[in-house]
Amino acid sequence: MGIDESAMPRGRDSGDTAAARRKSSHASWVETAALGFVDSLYGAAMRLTRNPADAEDLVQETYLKAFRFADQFEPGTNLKAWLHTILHNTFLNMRRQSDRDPVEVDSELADQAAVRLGGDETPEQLLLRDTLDADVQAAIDSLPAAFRQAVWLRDVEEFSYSDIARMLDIAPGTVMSRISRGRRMLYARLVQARTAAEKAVL
Amino acid sequence: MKPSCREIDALLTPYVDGEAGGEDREAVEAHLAVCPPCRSRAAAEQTIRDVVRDRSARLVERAPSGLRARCIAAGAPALLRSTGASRWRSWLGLSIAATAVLAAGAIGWFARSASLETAFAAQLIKDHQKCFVALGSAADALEAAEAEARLEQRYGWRMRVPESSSAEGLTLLDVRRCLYADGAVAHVLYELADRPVSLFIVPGAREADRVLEIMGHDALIWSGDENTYVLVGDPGSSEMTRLATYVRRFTN
Repeated sequence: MGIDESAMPRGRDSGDTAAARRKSSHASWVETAALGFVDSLYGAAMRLTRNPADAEDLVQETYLKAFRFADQFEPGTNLKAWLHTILHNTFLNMRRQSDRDPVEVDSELADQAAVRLGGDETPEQLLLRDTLDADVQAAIDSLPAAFRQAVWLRDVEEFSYSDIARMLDIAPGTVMSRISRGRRMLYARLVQARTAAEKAVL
Repeated sequence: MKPSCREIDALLTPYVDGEAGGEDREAVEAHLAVCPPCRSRAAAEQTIRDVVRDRSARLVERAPSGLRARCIAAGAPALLRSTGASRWRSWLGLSIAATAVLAAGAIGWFARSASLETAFAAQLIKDHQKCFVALGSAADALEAAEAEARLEQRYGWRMRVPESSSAEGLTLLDVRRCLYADGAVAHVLYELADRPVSLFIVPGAREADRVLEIMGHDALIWSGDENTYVLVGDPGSSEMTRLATYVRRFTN
C-alpha cells in the first residue's frame, strides 16, 4: 500500500533540530493517542463509504498515514480533527482512484427540502424525539454526501465550524450552509418517515 | 422568503448552535418573534440538532476489533523507523510480509513465526502504555479478589489475579479487557516501584517460555495450566525476572 502525501493536512515543516530530537517520543505519543479515535474515525468512514469493508480500509489507510507523518502533527492542536482531516482527504483520493463521481452538493434537493418546511410549529417535532436510533442513522445516510458529512462532523463529532472548514478545505460560511441544509433535509425525511409510519399503524 | 427572512435564514444555524454573536442573536430573536415561517425553520433545525446530539454516542458504530488490531499493526513499522535504535531493529525483524499478514487480519494468538510474535508483543506494549495513560496517575490499589470478581462478572473469565505485595514493591491497580485478539485477553495493571507493569492473560493458549526485549520493554511469556501469560514493563530485566517468579506462584 503506497503512502500518498497529498492526503496530509497542510502544515509547517518540522525541520529544526530541537523538533528532530523530540520527534521520536512525539511520534510515539501521537500513535498511542491516535488509537483512541478508532471508533470516531470508523463512524465517519461509515458515513462516507456507507460500506463496512470500505470503511475499514479507509480507517486503516488513515492510520498508516497518521503514523507515517506523526511528526507533522503540531502539539497543542486538535489530534482528533487532524485524524479526521486525513480521513477525509484519503477518502477523496480513494474515490478519485476508483474513478467514481466526486462528492457533489445536491443543492436542488436541499432547496426543495427547505421550501417544504413552513407553517407554524407542529407536533412532528415532538414525535421526532421518539424516532429509533436506526431510523435516524438511515436518514443521515440517505443525505447527499456533503450534507451528511457536515451534519455528522458537527452534531455527532461536535467539531467547531472552523475545524470542519479546515478539515474539508471549504469556507466557514459553506460549512454553516451545509449543516443548515443537511439538518433541514434530515428533518423533512424523518418527519416523512414518521408520518408514513403513523398512517401504516392507523 | 422575504429579503429579511433570507438574511435571517443565514444566521439560523449559528443561532441554534449558540454560536451567533450578540448583535446577530438579537436580530434573529427579534425576527423570530414576528415571523412564524422562520420560527418554524429554526425550531426544525433545533429539533434535529437535539435529536442527533442526544444519540451521538449511539450513532457512532464501534469499530470491529480486527480493525483495531490492523490499525495498531499499521503503526508498528512507523515505530521501528521512529526509534532508529539498531539494538533491537536487528532482532525485531518485522518484515513487510509479516506486516501484510497482520494487515490481512490473519492473526492467531501467537503466530508461529518469530517476527509475528514480536509484532504482537509490540502491540501488547502499546496497549500497556495506552491503558496506563488512560488510567491516570491517581489510581488506587485494587484488591485481587475484587479484580477476579470483575473479570468473572464482566467477561466470564475465572482466573487468578496475583495480589499486591509490599515485599515485592508491587501494587495491583486495575483489570480490564485488552482490545486485541477480539478482546480475548485480560489486562492486569500493576505498579512496581513506581513503574507501570502489565500482566496479559490469554485464556486457553499454550506457549513455550521465552523472553523478548522490545521497544525498551521486557516481555516475559509463559504458560500455566489453562492460560498463557505475558508480563510487560520497563523496570529492567532483573526486576522483571524477579517479578515473574512472584507472579508464577499464582499462575501455575
